[in-house]
Amino acid sequence: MAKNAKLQKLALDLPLFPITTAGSLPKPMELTELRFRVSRGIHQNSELDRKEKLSTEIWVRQQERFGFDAIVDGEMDRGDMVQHVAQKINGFEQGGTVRCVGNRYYRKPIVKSKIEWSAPLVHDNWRYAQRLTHKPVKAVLTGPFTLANWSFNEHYDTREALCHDLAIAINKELRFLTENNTKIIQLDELAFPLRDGDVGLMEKTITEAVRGINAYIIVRISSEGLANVWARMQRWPVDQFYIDMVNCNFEPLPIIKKTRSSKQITFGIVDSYRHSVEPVALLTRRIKKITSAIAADRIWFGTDFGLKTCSIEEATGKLKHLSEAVRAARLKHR
Amino acid sequence: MTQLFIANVGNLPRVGDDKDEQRHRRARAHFDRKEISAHALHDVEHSISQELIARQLAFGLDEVTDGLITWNDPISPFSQNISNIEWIGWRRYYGFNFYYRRPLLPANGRIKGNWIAPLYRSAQNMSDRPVRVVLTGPLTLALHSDSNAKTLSTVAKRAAFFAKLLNKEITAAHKEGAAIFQIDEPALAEHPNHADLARAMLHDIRYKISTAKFILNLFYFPLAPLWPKLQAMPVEGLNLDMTHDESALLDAMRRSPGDQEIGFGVANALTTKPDDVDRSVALLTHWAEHTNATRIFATPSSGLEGLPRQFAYQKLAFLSQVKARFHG
Repeated sequence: MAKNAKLQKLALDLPLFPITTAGSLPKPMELTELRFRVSRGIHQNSELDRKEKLSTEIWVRQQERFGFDAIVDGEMDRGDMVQHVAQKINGFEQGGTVRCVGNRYYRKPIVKSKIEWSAPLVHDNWRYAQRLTHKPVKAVLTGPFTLANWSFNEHYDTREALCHDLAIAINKELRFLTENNTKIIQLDELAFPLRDGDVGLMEKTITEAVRGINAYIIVRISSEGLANVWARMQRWPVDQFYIDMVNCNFEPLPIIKKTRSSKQITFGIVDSYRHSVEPVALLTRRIKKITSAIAADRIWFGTDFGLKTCSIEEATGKLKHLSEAVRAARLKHR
Repeated sequence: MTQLFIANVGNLPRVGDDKDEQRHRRARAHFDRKEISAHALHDVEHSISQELIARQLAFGLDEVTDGLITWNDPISPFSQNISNIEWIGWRRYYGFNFYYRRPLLPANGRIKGNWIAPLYRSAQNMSDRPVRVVLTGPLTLALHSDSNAKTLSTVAKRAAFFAKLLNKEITAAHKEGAAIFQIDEPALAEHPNHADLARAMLHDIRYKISTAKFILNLFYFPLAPLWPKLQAMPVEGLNLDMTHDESALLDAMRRSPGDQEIGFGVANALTTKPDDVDRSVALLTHWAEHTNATRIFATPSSGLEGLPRQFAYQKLAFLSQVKARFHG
């Protein structure tokens, strides 16, 4: 079976059906409470830093224990995916509280002036996690298209101009990461696809964001509306797409099967929002659905979304069963 | 002489940034952890609706909503009373960083009870101005749901099912005294090719309701291409999001004005940027002078829950300023 050229070039020797997860993992209750107390000035930041590192280590070890191949740091230092990245980029100001689902809220950032990268966004936590393991750790950050569309814009005349400057800023971040030996980078672009006309803008934005970057680039996108844009997406200068399959009932699978492409895909086969651990047998059936449609050397498996809304027990169970199901599938495939 | 009225068209932020304004979030978290009862959560929701209605009245709104604070999202509440309903995932709502629960409609699902009428009754008791009863329209509900049942396998079949469900809700609310029903159909704005279906469904929704005002609310997409079909819609009013294709829409409207009461969604609900009072007044004045309209409305372009609370209130204040300037 042919190995992926980019992974080989980066000296990343991954097995058949690499196992990964989307990014976020649940925070222990004491960390959540400590984050709240620090935000209110009741506790010191240094204690928070210590607890975040400890929680990161626990999750890195857990993923290693379960045999994950591309590990995440679990985002112990993050709240919302947009707010976390935006607050570190010049030009954004923190906005007020806005609801995103159920009883979950975030502070939606406002673009008040020209966007400029000034300091690393995710490198520090990525580096800490990478030092804990020999397995590759993905650097995960929100992509420029999503940052543009999920913020308020009070500065730029057009969305295109905002996307452009955000792409430049993210490109600087990716350069910093790769100069510090990051090999796998995941850009979370869950705002895409948005509307039909956005394909061109997204393509331009992503191209600018990854220009000159020597890393294995994953773009995580929403499964909705994918069928209309999938073929065109294969032109993007990225190595992989990460797609939630369970959440959309495997709707994009036929178009993915039909479209010629060498890009790899992480198929999200674990339901991140269901508060129960899917049995291995169910995951095995989902794996079979994918492997009977898509060439084996293109397939990775993961969770649909991040697992931060699960309890620690649920997340641990989901990761464990994902690993068991995929490793069994590897054996069957040989 | 044309009278300008101002109205809210949907949701409002149920939390703000200070501690007291976060009480819904705390109560809901307690409820989700089974630490408080549904009754206790309801008390908090009641107090927040009261607060939001009072604010709308303080800004001089002529028609208010209860802020839709009991709705998880615009889709799932309408399926919550269907027997054997299942939920198939969380989906983005129109590309926003906001998610709805997608229903999987069962075959032979029975509609148990209604939930809108008690909310209306409670809201109207808090307001000396009419409360608009907001409902998501059947086309939007159909396009945001699925079913494995043959009887509900197409958009048209699901739309008909939801039209029947909405008619029951509207009938119950009408019995409580509700006289203004706003039907939100962003899916029609997105898919103008479904106009004929939408029209048929509006007939079904208002079946046997002859003494109420129905308003079709359209937003998130350009509306000029849809305008010719809108005049055939069996509604007394149209609420139009003016923030996408204002010039083209006004041109289309001028060519054939129609006789429905028009609500102009001029307060942009998707941006924190202040809106232009002079520009909106000029638009409304021009429309008033060149049509036979005796009543027009100025409203937000869509629900305001996507804004932080202080900005949502600024949008309502803007409407108040527009009204004052219009009437000199």
